[in-house]
Amino acid sequence: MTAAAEFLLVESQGPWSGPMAERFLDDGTALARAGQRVSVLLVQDAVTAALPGAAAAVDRLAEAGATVWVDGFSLAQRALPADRVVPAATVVDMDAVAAKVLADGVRVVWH
Amino acid sequence: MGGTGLGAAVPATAPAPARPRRGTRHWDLLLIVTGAPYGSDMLTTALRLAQAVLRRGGSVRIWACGYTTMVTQTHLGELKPPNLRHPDRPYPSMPTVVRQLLAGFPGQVGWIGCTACSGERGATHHIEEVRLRSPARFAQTIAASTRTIFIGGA
Repeated sequence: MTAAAEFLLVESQGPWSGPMAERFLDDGTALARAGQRVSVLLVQDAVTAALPGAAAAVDRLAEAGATVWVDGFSLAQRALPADRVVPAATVVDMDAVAAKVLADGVRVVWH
Repeated sequence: MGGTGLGAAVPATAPAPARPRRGTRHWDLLLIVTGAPYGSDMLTTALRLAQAVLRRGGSVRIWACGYTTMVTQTHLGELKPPNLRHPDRPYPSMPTVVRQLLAGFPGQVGWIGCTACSGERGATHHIEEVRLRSPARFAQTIAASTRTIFIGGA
């Protein structure tokens, strides 16, 4: 890859669902380390990956410079307080996601 | 083999990508939603994203595929069965939710039902707002959108 692209990776599966969720997040880490702009949205069961100690892949994303978003609605549906997520993650609403989806040059991949 | 039928040589040149027909409307976002609608909150997430894009003035098309074609069936009625904890409170059925979405953003949103997926599931009585489309027009529909997101499993 030459020109920097921007990616929005949406993970919807929890870390216990199998190895694919972690691999998908690590794809984001690889893209960020390669110099791409990467945002990752954790939604539905994947919000549990943002709890402290739940998923090392989230820590790797943040260390690589990716933006980590957590869907506040999904947290609330699971009775998880927004202030419980790791400091590297930001709780967002769907309006922020929509703005990113509609932005020019953003590629969205949903898992 | 004679170059026809099974075992025929594959052309060296790839087929041209689908293009929207001249005069075809262009959409900001195509959401292809598949999978079982009640197996997770997948469809809720897809609809929340669609609503958020619509609130920002964008246009959205939803292509209901696989088991998602089940949610716009007329026999589901206007309301869900009573919630035993709140029996007096009405809860809209999925066809009603789709109707409200379409009515709330006239001209900004369209709902497509895949004919093949509907037929395979016997889900052939959709509310009239649903536009039925053959999977043969899948590529054309994608080409008519600035961006496409595929959500769900098979």
